[in-house]
Amino acid sequence: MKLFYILALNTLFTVLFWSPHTLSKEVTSEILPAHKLIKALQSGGHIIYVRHGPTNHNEKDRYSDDFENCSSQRNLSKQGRAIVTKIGATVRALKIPVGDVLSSPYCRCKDTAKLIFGHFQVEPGLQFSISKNEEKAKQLGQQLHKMMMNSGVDASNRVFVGHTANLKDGLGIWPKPEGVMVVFKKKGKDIIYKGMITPDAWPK
Amino acid sequence: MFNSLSLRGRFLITPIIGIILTLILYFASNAVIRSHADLFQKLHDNNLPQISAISRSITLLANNHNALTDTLVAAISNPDEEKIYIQGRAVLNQLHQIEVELLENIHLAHRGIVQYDTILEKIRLAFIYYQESSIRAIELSSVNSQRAIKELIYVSKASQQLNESFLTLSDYHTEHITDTSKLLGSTLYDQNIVTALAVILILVMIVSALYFSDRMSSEIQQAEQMIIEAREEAERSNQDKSDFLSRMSHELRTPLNAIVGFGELLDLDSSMLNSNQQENIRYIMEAGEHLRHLVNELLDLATIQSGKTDITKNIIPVKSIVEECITMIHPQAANKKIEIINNIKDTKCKIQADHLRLKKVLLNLLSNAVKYICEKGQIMFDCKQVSKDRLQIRVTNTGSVLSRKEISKLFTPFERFDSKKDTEGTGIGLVIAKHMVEQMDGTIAVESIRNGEIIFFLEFLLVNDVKELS
Repeated sequence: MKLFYILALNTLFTVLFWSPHTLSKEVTSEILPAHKLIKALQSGGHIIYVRHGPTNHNEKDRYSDDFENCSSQRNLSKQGRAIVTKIGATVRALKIPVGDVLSSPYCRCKDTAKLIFGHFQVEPGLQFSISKNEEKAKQLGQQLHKMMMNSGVDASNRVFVGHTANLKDGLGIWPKPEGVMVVFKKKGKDIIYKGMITPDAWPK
Repeated sequence: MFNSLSLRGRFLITPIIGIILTLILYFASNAVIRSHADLFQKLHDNNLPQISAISRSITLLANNHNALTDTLVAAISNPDEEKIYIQGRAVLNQLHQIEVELLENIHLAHRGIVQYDTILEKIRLAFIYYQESSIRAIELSSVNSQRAIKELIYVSKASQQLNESFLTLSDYHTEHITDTSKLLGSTLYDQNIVTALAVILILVMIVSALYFSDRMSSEIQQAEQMIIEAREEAERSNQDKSDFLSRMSHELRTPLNAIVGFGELLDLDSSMLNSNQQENIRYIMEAGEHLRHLVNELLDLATIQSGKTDITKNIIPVKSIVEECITMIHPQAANKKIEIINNIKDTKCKIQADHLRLKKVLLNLLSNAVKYICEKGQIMFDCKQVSKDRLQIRVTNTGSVLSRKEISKLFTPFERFDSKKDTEGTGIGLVIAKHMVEQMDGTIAVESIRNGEIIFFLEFLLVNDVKELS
């Protein structure tokens, strides 16, 4: 009986995650190419979710709450640091307005936020949800959605620097690859997915 | 303490000790059984739900591991990171659910047994390591699908470690629960067998002890009865002998008295006889007198052995009684030119004794001394207070011809020494003297200080108003 319940829940979640219509019918309706996304960002009023930069895949997370200890985490690789630094220079060169920047407490996210935007604030609710149980992971996803909803609309863009699982659990979007910038637009009570700017899509 | 027990008690000691030892062994084995039973109860009865739950969790883990492995294998052929994450997420969710139940039951299964709790802790750590490996595998595979192969190896190793730790728990249970239950059963069985055998053996020992103690008691009683009868027979024989001796002595005395009497009558009228006839009469009287003396000694011995002697103790001045005896023996001593000296000067030297018997004793000592001393020998009397209430009279003979061996046999009845085969006497004079001294609560002893010198020591109760003599 217990096994049946588990399987039923898994099936339900799979359907929910696979369905692009879960959160909003309009989430994926206006997907723009990178150059149009950049132009939209220059206007401000968007929500940017940045997946941390490329990491050293030989390093491993220890899944502890000691986020200050970078040696127990998978960190940005040398190449990754170069990529995000370049993205940061491009963002500044394009004069994309940046408002508050909230970062996951993981070192790779903080480094990404610092190297791209120069400033950030740690938000524990953005920590990687992959090691959490189903309930907690769902909670973190909802928390991200709520933070995005509460981010306010002004001339700048609100930035969240985080991980794959959180965005997938919260808004059903899988940010790919590492260093990608996912653009959302708040519309009423919905968060609308506008598209992704991969690291190699930024103008040279 | 053992000697104070009766015969039956001595026989029963062994089975009693056996009972005590059996009881000790029984209670000791009970304590061992109890400790095993307690362990069994802790590990089995009280712990069974937790162990069953842990076993279920491990089974679920095995199924979950298969799903994880499938996810990682699929990632190798179809590197869709988002799909890997979705499938992996389902596996991780199930893993989290198993984690809750497993860790809770591991915590509840702790029983304060060091080895057991250590095994449980190892399972917990192995699970946590497996869980982390699984999360990492999904995480890295969803970041880089090419990582799936490597992560599959790590996860498999973690799974093997978890299985090994759980096998340790199973082995522990087998050893301490299954084997304990068998051990309990066999120990109880052995205990019962041993106890039953011990009880049977003890009963046999008790019955044997009672039987043999009774039998030995009756044998001992029979032996005691035989001893009593033999002693009574010996006493009767001795009494018969004494009575015979007494009767014969009396019977002999009458004709002897007649012989000596008529000899004396003839001696009174010997003026009308010639010298040969007079000498013959003297021979008759000497022989008769000697025979009468021998008969008197035998009669005295018989009287002493029958226990019918009457002792009348008086206060006797030693000096005077010694002088009496010296006067009586003087003619015989003078014949052998033997000097008799009385060194007892103090007239206050007094003892408690029977006058007649003391005189006989002293005369006996003197006559023996005269017999066994060579010519020109010496007999000396002196006395000495040896304790608060004892006076010692010493009779020292110098010039004695007796050897040390012969001296040691002086108080042996009917002992006549080879060196003096022609010496007259029955050999019981000193025996009679010893009996008489002992009847007067005295002691007599002899000692040879040097060759040819014999000292007789007689001790009697000292009369209190006598001063200490030098």
